[in-house]
Amino acid sequence: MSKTMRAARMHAVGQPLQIDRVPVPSARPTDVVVEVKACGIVPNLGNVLHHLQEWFPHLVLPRLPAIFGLDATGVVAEVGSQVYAFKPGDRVYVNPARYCGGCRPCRMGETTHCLSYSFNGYFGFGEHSQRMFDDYPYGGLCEFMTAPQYSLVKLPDNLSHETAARFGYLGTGYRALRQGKVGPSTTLLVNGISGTLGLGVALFGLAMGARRILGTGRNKELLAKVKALAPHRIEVFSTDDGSIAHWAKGLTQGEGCEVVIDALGPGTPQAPMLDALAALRRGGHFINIGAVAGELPVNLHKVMDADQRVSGSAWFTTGQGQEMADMVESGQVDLSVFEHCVYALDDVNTALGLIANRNGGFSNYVICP
Amino acid sequence: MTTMRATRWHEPAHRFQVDEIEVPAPTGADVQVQVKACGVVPNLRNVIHKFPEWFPHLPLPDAPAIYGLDPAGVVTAVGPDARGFQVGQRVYVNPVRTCGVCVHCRGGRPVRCNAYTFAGYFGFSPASKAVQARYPWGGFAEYLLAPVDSLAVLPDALSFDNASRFGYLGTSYGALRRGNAGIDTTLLVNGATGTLGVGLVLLALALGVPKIYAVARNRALLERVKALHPSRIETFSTLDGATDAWVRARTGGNGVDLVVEALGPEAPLEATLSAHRAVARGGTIVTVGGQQQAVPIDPIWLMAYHIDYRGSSWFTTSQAQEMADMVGSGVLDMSMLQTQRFGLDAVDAAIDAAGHRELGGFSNIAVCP
Repeated sequence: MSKTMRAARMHAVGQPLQIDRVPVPSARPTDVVVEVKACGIVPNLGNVLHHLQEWFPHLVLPRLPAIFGLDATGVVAEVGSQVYAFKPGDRVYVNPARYCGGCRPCRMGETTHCLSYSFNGYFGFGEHSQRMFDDYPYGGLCEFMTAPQYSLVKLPDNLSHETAARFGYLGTGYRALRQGKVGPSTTLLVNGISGTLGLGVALFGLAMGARRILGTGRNKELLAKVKALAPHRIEVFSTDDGSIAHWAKGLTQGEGCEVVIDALGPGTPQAPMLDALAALRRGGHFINIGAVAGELPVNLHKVMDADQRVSGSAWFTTGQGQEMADMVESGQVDLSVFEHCVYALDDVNTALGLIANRNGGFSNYVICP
Repeated sequence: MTTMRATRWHEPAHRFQVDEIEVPAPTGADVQVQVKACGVVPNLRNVIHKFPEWFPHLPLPDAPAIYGLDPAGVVTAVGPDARGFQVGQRVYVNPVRTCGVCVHCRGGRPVRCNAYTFAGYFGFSPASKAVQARYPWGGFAEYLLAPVDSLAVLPDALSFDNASRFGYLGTSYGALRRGNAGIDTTLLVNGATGTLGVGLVLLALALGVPKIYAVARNRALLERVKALHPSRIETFSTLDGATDAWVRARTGGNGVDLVVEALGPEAPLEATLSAHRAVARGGTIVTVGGQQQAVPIDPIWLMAYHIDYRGSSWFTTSQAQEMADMVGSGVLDMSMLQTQRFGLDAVDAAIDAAGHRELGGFSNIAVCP
């Protein structure tokens, strides 16, 4: 009889996850098996588990029972016969982005645009996403998972598994910063800076040299904590105190910001997003990575006249994940601000219930199987 | 005193009048150009009659004002610092004027200058008033002064009539470059029979775009567009259904890499939306159109499908030179454009003609002093 492991599985939408015994997988030729040490859980996981099919019927949830868990880190336990760059014992983050490798966008090198793009242990975007989940049925909420070699980020010794388990949302922010070409001359506005996404944008924005970061939020205590990260480079503003655009223009000689990254959470009304869009300067780039829902009325004539960009950014590539790990190794980015909230696999339902009480983006909820 | 004829817009008389005024003499790095042809765009009527009401934040030149956006002519005198140009050279004058000294001008990104202004047309901010005072010369006059960095040298193969089309042609070129159009792009041109749209199709052919989906209403004009290159251009009249369904049926359900939005200001919103829905995952929508209504955009779609809206304002002088070079080498064919020429005393008739072009974007309206 094969070896078994514990896995938290969802058997029915709306039901608590259940700890089951399932067989330990073995590595196919281009895959590795990773012994999971920590798996991040994000506030949105509860939404995905309970509401995805109702809110976003065009997205694909894996067939149940399924092992969820988006942001797994661990140690390579076994490598397939065609794995070149990894060996047992390597510490890794597993980028959950799965792509087919064969469709036109994949062959053009744009793997995020894959027609079957799917998040392992979360949900998929394409008609073939279920096939992807059949090929990779293990999310991070179990003891061992398979992962393709293309998905692995090597972790330096000074990056803990708990911190690396935050790479999903950190990477989402990092790619948006790269899209906006944020650098030494950039004045950056982060809409929703104290949240799980926004705080990561601030940390990597600092690391990439942005000269000034303007951040908005509601909770003044959390905003003060964000400002304390770099008091001379970060300015914060509570949306309880008025207009974002008015405030941002007042700090930029009336011009506005080169890059605005919107990281507002689900359920936020459209008004603060439109307000942040109005803070964009001539030639500026607005990038959405947040979850404001509903159709936003955008004046494209103004976007044209002012030579602006309004775009979305989804997730990040494994290469970008490696860049982030390298920045941690060299000390370029400081991720010591996170307050880890660690739970055992058995307590996953408790953790999912408590994440609503987090201390903004500073809390980092991880499951350590 | 040497005088010249100039057609000027007078207030409060609210009309054009041919005046005898002094010929300006070049100083510094300015050159004097004898205008041979000046393009008239359909939007000029709106600028003069409607902009004060529609866009009160866009300043018009003070009356009596010399309008005329797209002049082409011959250099007749050069200022002491206008190096590189000689009397007798044939040139197109890019009407863009900027402050020249802000961080964006010094950084080689004049489109971000807060004082960005079109000589002979309108400006974009209160800072434009100073620029309009420095360069009050439009193309509806026998002579004008322009800074040396606004000039594109015309090859013999490029007539003044066709060069006077460079403004909207360049707007189309700037849009295609902003969307990285090239040999690997599938392109949808929305509004393909208009002044911008015909330019988009001609320049996309020149840039090697393999497949152009040309969408408009007028079937007769669409046939003319198709005839430009029947194997690379497919046409669709919006009278026959929804643009997105038509495009998706031709692209394996995926949509196109790039949509360029070039509908006029009176187009129904649904015509815009239907074209935008035809963009593929990871695709780009460049807008140079006149859509006045706010366009509803789903921010989750932007993010999840990696969609990128890019406004594109005008073009650079170096892009004007690239277009001139393409005409010189034969890569860009403008021979099918039909120019109607008007005298300085017939500017009103020229503007009328621009508003009633039987051949759509194949018509070219020029005032030839």
